[in-house]
Amino acid sequence: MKMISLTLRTTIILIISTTVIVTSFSLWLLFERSHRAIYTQSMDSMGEVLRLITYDAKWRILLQDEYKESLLKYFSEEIWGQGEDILWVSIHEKDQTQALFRMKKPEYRNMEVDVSFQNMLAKFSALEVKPSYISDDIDEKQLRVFFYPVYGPVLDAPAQVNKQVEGLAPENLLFGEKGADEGDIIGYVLIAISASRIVQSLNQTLWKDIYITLTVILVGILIAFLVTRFLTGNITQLVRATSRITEGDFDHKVKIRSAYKELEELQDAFNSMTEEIREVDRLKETFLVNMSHELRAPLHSIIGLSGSLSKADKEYSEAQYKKGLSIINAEGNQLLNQINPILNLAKARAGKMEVQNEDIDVTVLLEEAGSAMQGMILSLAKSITFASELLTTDLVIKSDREKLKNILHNLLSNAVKFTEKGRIELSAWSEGEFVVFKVKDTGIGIGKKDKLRVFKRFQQIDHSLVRKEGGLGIGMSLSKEYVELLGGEIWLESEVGLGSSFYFKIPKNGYEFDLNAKRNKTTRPRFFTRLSLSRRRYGSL
Amino acid sequence: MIDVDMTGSKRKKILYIEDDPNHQFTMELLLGEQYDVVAASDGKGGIETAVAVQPEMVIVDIMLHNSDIDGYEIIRNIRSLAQFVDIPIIAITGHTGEAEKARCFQEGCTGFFTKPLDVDRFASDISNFINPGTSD
Repeated sequence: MKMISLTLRTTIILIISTTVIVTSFSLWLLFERSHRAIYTQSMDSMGEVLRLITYDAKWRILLQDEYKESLLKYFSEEIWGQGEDILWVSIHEKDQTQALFRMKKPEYRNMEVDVSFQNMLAKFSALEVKPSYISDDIDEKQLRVFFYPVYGPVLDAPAQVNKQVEGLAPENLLFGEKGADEGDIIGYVLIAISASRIVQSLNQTLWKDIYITLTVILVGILIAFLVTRFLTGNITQLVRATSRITEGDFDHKVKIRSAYKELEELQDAFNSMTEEIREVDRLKETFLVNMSHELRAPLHSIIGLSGSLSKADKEYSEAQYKKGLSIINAEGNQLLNQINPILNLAKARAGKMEVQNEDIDVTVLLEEAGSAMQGMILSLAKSITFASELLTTDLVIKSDREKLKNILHNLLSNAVKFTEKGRIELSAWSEGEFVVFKVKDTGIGIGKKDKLRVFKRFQQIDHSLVRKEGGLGIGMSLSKEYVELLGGEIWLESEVGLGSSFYFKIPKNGYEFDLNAKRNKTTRPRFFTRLSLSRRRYGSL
Repeated sequence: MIDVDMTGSKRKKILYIEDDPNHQFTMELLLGEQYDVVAASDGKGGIETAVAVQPEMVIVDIMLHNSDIDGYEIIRNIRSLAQFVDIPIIAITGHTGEAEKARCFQEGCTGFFTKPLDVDRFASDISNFINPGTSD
């Protein structure tokens, strides 16, 4: 009991932890992407700078001095416009560590452009600027320097540009050789970018990442906890209900407060099961009380009479002896009649009942049943007329005589029991491969609700006649077992106040009942299980 | 066993209310030697007989199939009559439940027996109930 709920809890926690892990991983991927996006963004701004420079490097950087100033101005405006993170840009000729051209933003506010190429050269040659040069006012950690190669002019450059380059003296070229081949590296562009913003952004996103992941995990744990409590709560309720039912409290109902259909269905199924168990328990108790009474009554006569008659110190008349002994005999037989159906029912249900296939003349069968019936009516002093009729002449069938007689006896005595006065008819006829028997009475009838219960064990309809007549509620269910053993079926038609008609049909040419199938179906003879249970609980019968 | 009525011509009368004739006969054999056992087979008849016969003891079967009133009611009705306030009323039943027993005593019965009876004990118990103070 405990283990099941533990396992369930563990399972749920496992499932939800997995969900949390998967979610966190997905989130991590998402953040990784956003990191990349930030990075790419800064790269893009650099790319733009590079495009500007290299484009002009290809065609126009190599301009004459008079254009340099305006060119650089144009450059700087364009470049600084690309992004706040660009700290400086420098252009280097191939194999030269000294920058040919450099722009920087020392205080991140105003750009400072070395507008003159000569000035710039002088300035930077004096400083021996290296590509990895880092300005003093920039924290090393916050700086990233990107190093881009610049390729030679393309062949399909506009004719105007090529013409311009053709006409220039080598010293007027900003860098590269005149007529350098396409694809040759003629120099480098270095772009320094402030890493602080990227780092800051990354840090921010990282924290966001951590916060969100933690939230997801916490929410997941909370959900896991709630779901576990919710599910195990309901299951605990079921477990509690089960143990209460085990203790014999069949009135206990499970109430699951849940919107879930499955749990609601489980609850309904559980409650109707309880209901069923309660009904079975009630029947069992009624049966035991009835049986106790039914068995004690004849035993009372037998023990009382034999006890008195055997007393040496008492003298009884011969008439008393005779009467006493005949009562003992009659009550003994009565006891046997009470016990036999119970044992037979148990035997039939356990699949241990042998079935004979013998020739039976239905005419004789009806006659025998009829004469027994007349005796029954006579002994009960009821004003009932009885008639029996065989509607198909010369009907001889193959079946089990004793069981057939027993079924008829049960149906007829049942009819007598519930008919104070009126008419009872027994008839039989052939119908295809079957023979149909019908017992019709004009008794109290059976209501719709009771119809379903008639063939169940220990079931008796609640009627004053039942209380008066007693009985154990075995006959009908035994009849049903027998009819099934003979390969047939039993049913009834009835209307309250008008009477009932019981029908059963069995094969005319015998039937091989598969005892093993029945035995396998009811591996445990439930009837005995019940009796042994009852015995434990009630002490004795 | 001592016959308590050795001196008198008058034997004590016991009314037995029971619908089963076999059980009536059994009681006749059990107690008939010492007492006059008068039988009645239903509640109404039983009470009428009690008034008519004035028995010294009443034995009632609780489960009467054909009776208009059940055994408990018979006990209550007889006990409520002035002349039967002190007589022993004995309940007999085929049911063994404690609930039945408690109910019988609640209704005013003096003794409670279950069927089948222990023949010897029953005779001596009845003797004790009907002749209080004496013992055999």
